[in-house]
Amino acid sequence: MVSQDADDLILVDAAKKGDRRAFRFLVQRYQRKVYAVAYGFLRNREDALDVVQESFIKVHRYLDRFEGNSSFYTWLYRIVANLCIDNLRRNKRHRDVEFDDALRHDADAEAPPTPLTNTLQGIGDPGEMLRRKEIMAAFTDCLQHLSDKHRAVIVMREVQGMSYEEMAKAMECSKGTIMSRLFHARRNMQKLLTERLGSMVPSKKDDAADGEAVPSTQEAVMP
Amino acid sequence: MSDTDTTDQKYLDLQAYFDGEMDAAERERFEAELERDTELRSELDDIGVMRELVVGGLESEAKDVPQARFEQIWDEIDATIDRDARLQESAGTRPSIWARIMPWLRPAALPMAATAAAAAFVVVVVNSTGDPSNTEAPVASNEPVQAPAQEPAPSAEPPSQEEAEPAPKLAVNNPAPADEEPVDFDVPDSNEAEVERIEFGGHSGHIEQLEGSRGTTTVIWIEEDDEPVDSERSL
Repeated sequence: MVSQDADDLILVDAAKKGDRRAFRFLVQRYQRKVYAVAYGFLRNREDALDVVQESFIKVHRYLDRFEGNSSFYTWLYRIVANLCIDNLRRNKRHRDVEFDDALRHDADAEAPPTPLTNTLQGIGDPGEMLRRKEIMAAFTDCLQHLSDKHRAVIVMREVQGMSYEEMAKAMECSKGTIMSRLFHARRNMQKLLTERLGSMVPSKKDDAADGEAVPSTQEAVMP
Repeated sequence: MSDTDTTDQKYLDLQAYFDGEMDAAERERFEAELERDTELRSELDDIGVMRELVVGGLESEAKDVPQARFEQIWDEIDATIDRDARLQESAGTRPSIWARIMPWLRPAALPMAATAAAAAFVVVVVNSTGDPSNTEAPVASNEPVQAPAQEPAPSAEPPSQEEAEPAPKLAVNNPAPADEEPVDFDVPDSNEAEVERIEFGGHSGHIEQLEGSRGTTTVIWIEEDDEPVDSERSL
């Protein structure tokens, strides 16, 4: 009988032989990560939960085809990404943001983007920040304002760790298009986060009055 | 190349470096440039912070989903796996020929049964004495046909109903009295019999016929006549 802490491949082998408990362990291990990815794509809790369910059903149906050439979670994440992309295509919503790679930040081409780190150092340690609901709301808001394609590449790269080639295959475009899309997505995300989080930076007068030195970029950002 | 293009290219390289998409030679070259360019280093920090925010933000959202919701999802997955297993099992056993044909026959069961009944009447009528002038409306019978005690005498004229052929015998509904004019029926040109009237369960009715496109006749309705008819024989 396999244990809950067994390696992915051991659980997969047991599940292939019909061990339902082993498959459940796999589901429990990855369900929230799958949800996080799906939510990143779809920005809707129920849609993301539907994708979680569909993903694991699909995994179980095609488990025999998993040969162990890649890690289980890489294979799983590919299934999740494909389901999310299909979902986005089915439910294309008209949005008032750019659909192509034209950039919001192009309007400020002459002014270099404000470094995000300068903004964040005014708020505090990023690890601490993530626990603050306001930061979460700011992040979710910024994610909402990206186009479907930009959001997809951000999630595939940052959360799923997919290579440019894997992303190109998933989105049925060239590697060059992926690189360009990711470039613009990151620029837009950076601009949105800076705008949104900038309003949360306390006045520099307060810091001076406390006599505290403003931490350097390296100290504030690098863990 | 414009300054914007240079900046964009530098950022694309930075992105490829950060994402591990550069080969060894490219990495070495870029790292040397990073050493020289503080702005480029700052950009690199920004991409790193953004990744932390994206990953942390989505993981935080995932933590907010109640565990009960995931339990519900597991119940659905479990039920689907059971359903898949049942479907696979039934797909594995080869159904009997009858089980394979039934889904096709089911919609046509009633019309086919009615057609079969009508076909039985047609067979009976076709095998009747034949001279329409000597018969009333032909009526089919479901009682066993008794062979007459004597065989009908061969004659140029078709035998009367009283001298019915050994089998099958037709029941006569209200046999025409001797002094009544025999009823004339049109003889179909193609020698096909027309079922004009049937008896069933002490009642009588008529069959609505629908001529099919391929010369077939389908019985689609059996309608009861207004007055019941007494008959010793019935369906």
